[in-house]
Amino acid sequence: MQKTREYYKRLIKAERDYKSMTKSFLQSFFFGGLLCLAGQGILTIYNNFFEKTTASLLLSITMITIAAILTAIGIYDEMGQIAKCGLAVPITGFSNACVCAAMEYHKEGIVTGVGANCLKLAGSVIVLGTTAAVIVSSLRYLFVVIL
Amino acid sequence: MNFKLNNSYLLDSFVIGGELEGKGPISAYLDYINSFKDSTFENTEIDSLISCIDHLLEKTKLEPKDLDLAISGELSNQLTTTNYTYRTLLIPLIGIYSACSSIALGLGLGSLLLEIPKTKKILVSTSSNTESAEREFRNPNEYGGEKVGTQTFTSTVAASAILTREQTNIKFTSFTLGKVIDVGFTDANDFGRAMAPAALETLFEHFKETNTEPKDYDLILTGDLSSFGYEIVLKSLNEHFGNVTNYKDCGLILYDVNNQNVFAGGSGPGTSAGVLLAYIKKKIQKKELKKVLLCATGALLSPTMIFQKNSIPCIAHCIVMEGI
Repeated sequence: MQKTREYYKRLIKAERDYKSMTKSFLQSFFFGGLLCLAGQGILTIYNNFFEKTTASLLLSITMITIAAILTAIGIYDEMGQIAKCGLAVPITGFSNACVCAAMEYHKEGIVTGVGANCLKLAGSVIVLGTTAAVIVSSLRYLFVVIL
Repeated sequence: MNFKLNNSYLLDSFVIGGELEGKGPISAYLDYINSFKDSTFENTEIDSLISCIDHLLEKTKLEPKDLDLAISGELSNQLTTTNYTYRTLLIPLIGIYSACSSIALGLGLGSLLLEIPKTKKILVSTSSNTESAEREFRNPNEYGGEKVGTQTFTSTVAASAILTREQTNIKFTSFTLGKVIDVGFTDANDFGRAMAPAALETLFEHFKETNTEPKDYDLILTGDLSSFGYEIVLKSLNEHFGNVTNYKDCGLILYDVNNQNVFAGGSGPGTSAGVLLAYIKKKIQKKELKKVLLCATGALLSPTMIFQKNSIPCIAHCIVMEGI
């Protein structure tokens, strides 16, 4: 080698850009909050027509459907660049992750394409979410019910 | 390792750019702008490479049987685009994988093969496609997760060139074959920084073995180092050779990084191929440039190894294109 490994390592060492990190955090906070505000608005409207549990269920369905449609027409990924994690953390992010994978693999067939790959990105949410729920519920059972 | 080339001339080349490349700073130099749309991303890439080679053969009035062999390489798994394109052409094929540095390796290998008296004409081709690369190396195209600023944008370009022993006005004079360099960098969202050591290593070796300095060239190009890698290479070149003013990066030439949505710059085999075979070729023909050194860079990563928390091996090859 013409130069040592250490020379290159030192050369490419990245400096953390706290300024742009802060900007991203604020963007996520703002757009995530805006999305939740919209969700609350829809929930308030639904509450006038349905009973409480049905209304919140319908809210989730509405959000998932809107995100799926926006993904299908190719707008969601561009919105995601502006809203950062603000769109990815709420349920809309889950919907997008499922739909984008399904779209990508639909040419490989319904079973081996869409079926097998639909949860490629979102699967970890289901698996780890369920696991976390089991652990937390067990602890709750242990402390609240038994003790 | 450096090779001096004696018999390698560029007969002609053809470059097809996609929609975004057609709106970029060098769109006037591209031979053809077309956003192909086939049923899948992979088919689209194959279509554009087939079309590119067809145009080139038509332009040079050659038939596939006039070509002794072809060298082609791109990013896809199992060289899908290459193999599916050449199944209709029936030219003896060497498929190469060198990621985004395919064009330099292809032209270099072709030039070396032209040293054998039996070979007269060699076709070299490469291509890249935003969507198929995104799907293979990153996430599904419509995924809304944040793309970080250090990421690069794979260009949609198909490029092909024919090398010949007969003298033309453009000659390839020198070729430096690079080594795989891995300094333990693991961030797959920052290829620019990952590839900078490989680029520097091959550049230093090239300058040393050919006894040249950056100022001996009208222009020094790296492949797709993004604005981050570009700064690192420039800093190091300045450190070693004084003030280097003739260094640029192909990914920053192909796109207008400030106004086009390409994050830190262009990448993909098509980037360096497109810039060299369209922009630089025409500049040399117009006598605006004479001696250009391309150091095409490639990140030889495998998504599997990245998920297993392994680092990114990188490579770079240098080729010198001269007007005569």
